[in-house]
Amino acid sequence: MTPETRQDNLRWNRLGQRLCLGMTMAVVAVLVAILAYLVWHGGDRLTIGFFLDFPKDLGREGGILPILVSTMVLAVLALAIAVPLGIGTAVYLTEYTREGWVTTVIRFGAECLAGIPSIIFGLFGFILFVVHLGLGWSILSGALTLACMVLPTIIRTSEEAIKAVPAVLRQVGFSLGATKSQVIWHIVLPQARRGIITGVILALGRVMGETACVIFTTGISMEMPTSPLDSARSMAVHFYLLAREGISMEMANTTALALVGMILLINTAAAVLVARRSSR
Amino acid sequence: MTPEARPRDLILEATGLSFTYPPSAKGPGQKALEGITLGVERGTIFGIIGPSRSGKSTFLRLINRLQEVTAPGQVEGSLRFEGKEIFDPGRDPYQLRREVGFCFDKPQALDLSIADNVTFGPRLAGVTSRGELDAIVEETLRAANLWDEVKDRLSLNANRLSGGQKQRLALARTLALRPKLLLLDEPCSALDPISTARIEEALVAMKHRTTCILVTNNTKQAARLADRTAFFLMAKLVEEGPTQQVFTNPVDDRTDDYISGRFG
Repeated sequence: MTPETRQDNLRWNRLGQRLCLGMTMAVVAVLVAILAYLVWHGGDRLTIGFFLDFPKDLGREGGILPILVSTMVLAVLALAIAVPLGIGTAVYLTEYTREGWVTTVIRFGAECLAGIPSIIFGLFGFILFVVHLGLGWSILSGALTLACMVLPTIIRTSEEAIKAVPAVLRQVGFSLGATKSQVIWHIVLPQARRGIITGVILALGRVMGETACVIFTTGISMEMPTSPLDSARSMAVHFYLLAREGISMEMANTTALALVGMILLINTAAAVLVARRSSR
Repeated sequence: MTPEARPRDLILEATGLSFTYPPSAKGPGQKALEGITLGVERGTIFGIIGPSRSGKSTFLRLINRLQEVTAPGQVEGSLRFEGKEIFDPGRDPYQLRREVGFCFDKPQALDLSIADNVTFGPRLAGVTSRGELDAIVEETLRAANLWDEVKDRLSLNANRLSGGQKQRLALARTLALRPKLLLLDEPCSALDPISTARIEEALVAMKHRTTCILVTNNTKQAARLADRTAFFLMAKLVEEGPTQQVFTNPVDDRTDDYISGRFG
């Protein structure tokens, strides 16, 4: 290699590094800009009271307590339905079937499902759960619809996490007298939990921020829900209505800030928990 | 009295054992073992040497029926553990694997604490008594020469240990089921000489209780540890006999060539 090509290589290296750095900075800048905008326009109203007060005058005044509760119940219920189903499917696809046309079809189906716009899921949920199964506009209808929506994400991420568990660890399990289900339960799933949790958190964020699905299936009631069969309003829907109906742009921004803040907090907490458990 | 003269108490007996891998899209299944006949005496270390792909590991994985988990092929001939046929259709492979321990070539820690790694097998087998489990942890970690290094941090995640420590942990984890026969598949191939020495000490110290079959790429290790040694080459057993004899006065020229490093 001549000194000239060496120089050239170095120059290209540096250029590549700087290009990637620039792109990363641009991505971070977008996040910071959104947060800064929300803090600027909604930060002053974000007090403890905002979370603990009932909304007044369609949401122009007061807080979001019933909406906060509805959002959390909706999210927890949706994940309670989607997570076991998703992990179960992923385990079946990775551990119990040989790769063939069945798995290809199932995987293709899941992938297609992931690409469907959420408003279609909303419509589907409205027809199936709200009308056909007679669940009405309710948290249950919403949770079931949201579960359908995030199921592909959970299946996909869980599948990847399970596939990443080294085959030899399964053999270690077998060599210690474990049955197949014991190997899955005691070795594969604990080993894959980091990836599985990541997928669940991703799903949680999507569920909490989802609007179209929820407005079609859960409705827009601002009352405090007393049962899963009550209609309710999620924070994302609340934000949409406040902004879209021209009720209060300020309250809309504050709601958005609260929602984004909560999702960031949940993601951070999950990351810390996963990191702590595995480095103990 | 020479060892040959008294009746041998064989814990494992292979007679005309052959194994063929399942056929794949690329062609017919490959023969990994052909007509292996040998016996392993209780209370000894039995060494198996040979170049890679000679069938040594497959032989080991047939003994605890681990082979059928990954690539179930076709077995012919007979393989008996304590007089009973291993491939008897009525035989419970899970119970067999508790009686025949296995140690893998690369150190493998489960993502659990050191203590929970050791008690993994016993807990699955239904041992729940805290006191009993604690006793197993100390006893097996001592047997694996690891106790002094980890006794103060048994709740530490096992992945924090070094490679050599992890391998001794894997040994302890296998011993926790009190196997009668221990299969070691190149247990020191990923370890430094000091860790290797600690494992070797452990094996020698426990061979009276736990018979060992040691597959190794390191012929010197077989010479140091094994009471008898077998030389596998291209799916066949070339020669088997007292280690001293195999190494100093082999019957077959190929054994001599392999041991003196002319190929391998």
